[in-house]
Amino acid sequence: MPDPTQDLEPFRQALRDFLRQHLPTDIRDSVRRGQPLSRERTIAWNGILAAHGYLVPHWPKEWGGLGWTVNQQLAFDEEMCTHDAPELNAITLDMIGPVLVRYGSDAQRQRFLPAIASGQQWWCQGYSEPNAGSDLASLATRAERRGDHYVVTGSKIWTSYAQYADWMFCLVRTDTQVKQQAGISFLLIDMKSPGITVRPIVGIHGWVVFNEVFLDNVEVPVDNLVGEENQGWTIAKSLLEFERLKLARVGENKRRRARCRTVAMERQVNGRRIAEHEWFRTRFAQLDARLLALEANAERFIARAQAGERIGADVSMLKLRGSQLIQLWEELTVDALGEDALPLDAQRLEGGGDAPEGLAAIAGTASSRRFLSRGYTIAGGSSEIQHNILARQVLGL
Amino acid sequence: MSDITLNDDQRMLVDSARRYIERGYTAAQRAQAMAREDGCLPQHWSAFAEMGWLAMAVPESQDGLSASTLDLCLLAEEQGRGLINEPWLASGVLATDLMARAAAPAVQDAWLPALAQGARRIAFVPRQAALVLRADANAPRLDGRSGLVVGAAGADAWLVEAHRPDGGTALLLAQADPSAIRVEAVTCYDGRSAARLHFVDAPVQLLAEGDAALLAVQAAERRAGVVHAAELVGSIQRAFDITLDYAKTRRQFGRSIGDNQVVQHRLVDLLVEVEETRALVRAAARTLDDDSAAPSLAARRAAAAVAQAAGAARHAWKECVQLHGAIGMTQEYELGQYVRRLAAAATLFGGEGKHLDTLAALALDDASLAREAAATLA
Repeated sequence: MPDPTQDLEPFRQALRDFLRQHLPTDIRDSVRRGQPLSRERTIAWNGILAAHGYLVPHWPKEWGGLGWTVNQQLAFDEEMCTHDAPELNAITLDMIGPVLVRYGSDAQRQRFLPAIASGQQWWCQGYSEPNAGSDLASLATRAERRGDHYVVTGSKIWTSYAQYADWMFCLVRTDTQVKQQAGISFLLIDMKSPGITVRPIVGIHGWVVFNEVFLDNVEVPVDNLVGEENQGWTIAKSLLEFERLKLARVGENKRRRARCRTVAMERQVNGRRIAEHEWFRTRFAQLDARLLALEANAERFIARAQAGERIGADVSMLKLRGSQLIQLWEELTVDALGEDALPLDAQRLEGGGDAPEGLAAIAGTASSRRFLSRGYTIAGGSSEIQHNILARQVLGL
Repeated sequence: MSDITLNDDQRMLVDSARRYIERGYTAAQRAQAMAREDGCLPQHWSAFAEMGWLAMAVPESQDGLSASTLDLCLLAEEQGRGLINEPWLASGVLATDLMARAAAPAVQDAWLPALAQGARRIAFVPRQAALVLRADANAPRLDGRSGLVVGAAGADAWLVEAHRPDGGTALLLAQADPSAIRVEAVTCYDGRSAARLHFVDAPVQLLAEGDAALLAVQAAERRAGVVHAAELVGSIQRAFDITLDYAKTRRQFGRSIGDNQVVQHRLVDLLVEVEETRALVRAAARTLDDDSAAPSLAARRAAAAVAQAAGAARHAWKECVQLHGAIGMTQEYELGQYVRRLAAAATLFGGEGKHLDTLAALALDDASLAREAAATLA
C-alpha cells in the first residue's frame, strides 16, 4: 500500500495555503508561545474557519460538513497543529454537535446545529461530579420532572471552560430506583438559567481551565432532553469512532515536538546548544521513536476505518499512548529550558502582553503547559481505565 | 490486530511460513541446528530454498523474487515467532541484498543464483579498524581480524567492508580459504552461531570503493535492520502469548494470576508495545519500498523501528520472566528460549543506542539532514 500521506499532498497544500492567508498573526503567535486563547479570539478564529467550511468538516453534509474521508479529516487536524493554528473546542464541535446529529430532535438540531457550525456558540460538558470521576455512572445530580420542566439540583466539577460556555450538556439522574446506568438522562442547559453558579478553579498551571458548576433548582424545559429519558448513558458513550482515532493526538504531539526542538536549538548551556547535549539527544530520540510508532499505529486504525471496518476496543491504545507522549514532550521541554522555565511570567497568563519570539516565548508558558498536560491521562477515561478496557476486551482477562 | 492492508500473496506467505515452521521446525529440530558449529541444518536450508525464502532478496534479473522489504518483514516475523536458528537474515537478506546492490554483473551471475538455490551461503562482515586492504591493483589482499559476526560461520564467502590504505572504504569479496582465512566459530547464548574471521594475506575481489561502497552498505544495513526488527516483533509476540496464556491458567490465592489488576495492566503495556512496534516496523518497510517517499522519513522510520524493537524486546523478556515467576527462570520451559533470543538479538544491528543516535542526528543536526538527502539523491 502506498503511503497514504502521498495522495493527500495537494489537499494538505491547499490547507497550508489557507492557513498562511487566513490565520491571524496574533493568534498564531499565541499558539506558538503555548498561551491559552481568550474566548473572543477563539470565537474569531472559529468564524474564519466556518466561513471556509473548515470548522465542522467531519459533520454530515446536510449540517455543513464536507464529506471528507477519515484520512482527510486527520490530515486536516495535523496541518492545523503543525502550522500553529489553535486546538479547536472538541467538546463543542466533536461531541455535542455529532450527538445532536445522531440523537437530537428535529427542533433541537434546527436550533443548535447552525449556531454551533457558525462557531459562535460555546458548550461545556457537565459530566464529572465531586463523587463521580472515573466512576461516572454514580453521578448524583438530580433532575425531577415537573410539568414541562425538569428541575435540576446538584453540582458538576472539572467542567472545562464553563466560564466561557453558553450552554452545557449535562448528565443527570432521572431515576434512582434502577441500575445506575439506566437512570441517567442527557439534558441541554442554558448557562444563563437562574440557579447556576460557576466557580472557577485555578489549576496547578495557574490557568483557569476547570470550574465547579452548581445547579440549584435550575429549570430546564423538557424540550431540552436529548433522546429518551434515561437513555443518557448510551448517548454519552456513543463518542464517534472518528473521535477515538483523534485521541492518538498525533498532530498535537508533533506540535509539542516542534516546540521542544526549538528550545533545544536555541538555548545554550556552557556555550553549547541543548541539542548538542548527550542527555537531551537520547531522550529526544526516544520520544521521536515513540511518536513515529504512535503515528504508524494510528495509521493502521485509520486504514481500518477508511475501509469501513468497525474500530474495536483496541483503539484505546491510541488514547493511552498519545496522552502519555504529550506529557513526555512537555516534560522534556521544561527540562531543556532549565531555570529559564522557572519565572512566573505574566505572559503565561491568558491575554497577558506580547511575548517575544522563539525561546523566551516558549519559556513563559512551558511550566504551565507541563502541568496542564497531566490532565491528558486523567480526562476522557484515565490511563488506568484504558488499561482495564484493553485487559478485559482485548486480552480477555 | 489484523493488518487489512496486506494483499492475498502476503497473507499466503505468512500462512505457509507459519505452517512450515509449526510442522517442520520442532524444538528437537531446532536443537539439532543449535548443536552445529555453523548453527545451520542443511535440510532446513534446502527447505528454505524450496520455499523461495533465499530468492527473496535476489533481483528478478537473476531469477530471484525481488521481494519488497515488507514481504521480508512478514517472513521475518514468522521466523522470530518460531525462533529459527539458521542465518536467513545474515545470508539471505543482508549479504544477498548487499551483493545485488554492489557487485558487478559477472559477480552477481556467479553468486546470486547459487544463493537463491541454497547451494551457497554468504555473510557480511562490517568494518573494523583492524581490517585493512593491501593495495595491489592486480591482486588485492586483506589482513586483519573481524568483530563477532552472527551467521558468518560456515559461509562460502564473506562480503567484507575494509579500510583502504588511504583511509577510504572498500567492499570486498573473500572466498573461504582455510590457508588464508581462519574462522573462529562461537555459539551464542541464544543458540545462533557467530564467528570471528582472521584474514592473513587473504586474496580478495574488490566489489566497490568509496561512496559507492558506503552507500550500498548503508542501504543494505538499513533494509536488513528493519527486517531484523520484524524478527524481534515475532519473538516478542510469541513470548507475550506464552505469558498471557500462563497468566490465565496459573492459579494462586484461589484465582488466576491474570485476575490481578497489577498483572493485567502490565500485560496491557506489553500488548501496546508489541502492536506499536509492529506498526512502526511495517510502516518503515513500506516507506523503504516507496520510491516516492521522502528520504528523511525513510531514514527516521528505519532508525526508529530498530530502536523501538530493541527497547521493546528488552522490556518484554524481563516482564515475561517476572510475570511468570520462578518458572520463567528455567531453561527447559519454552519461554526461556525466547528470553535468550530477545536478550541477544536486541543488541544486534547496533542495538537501541546506535539508532537513537541516528534519530537524534536526523532531528537535531542540520548537516545530517543535508547529508541524508544528498546520499539518497546520489
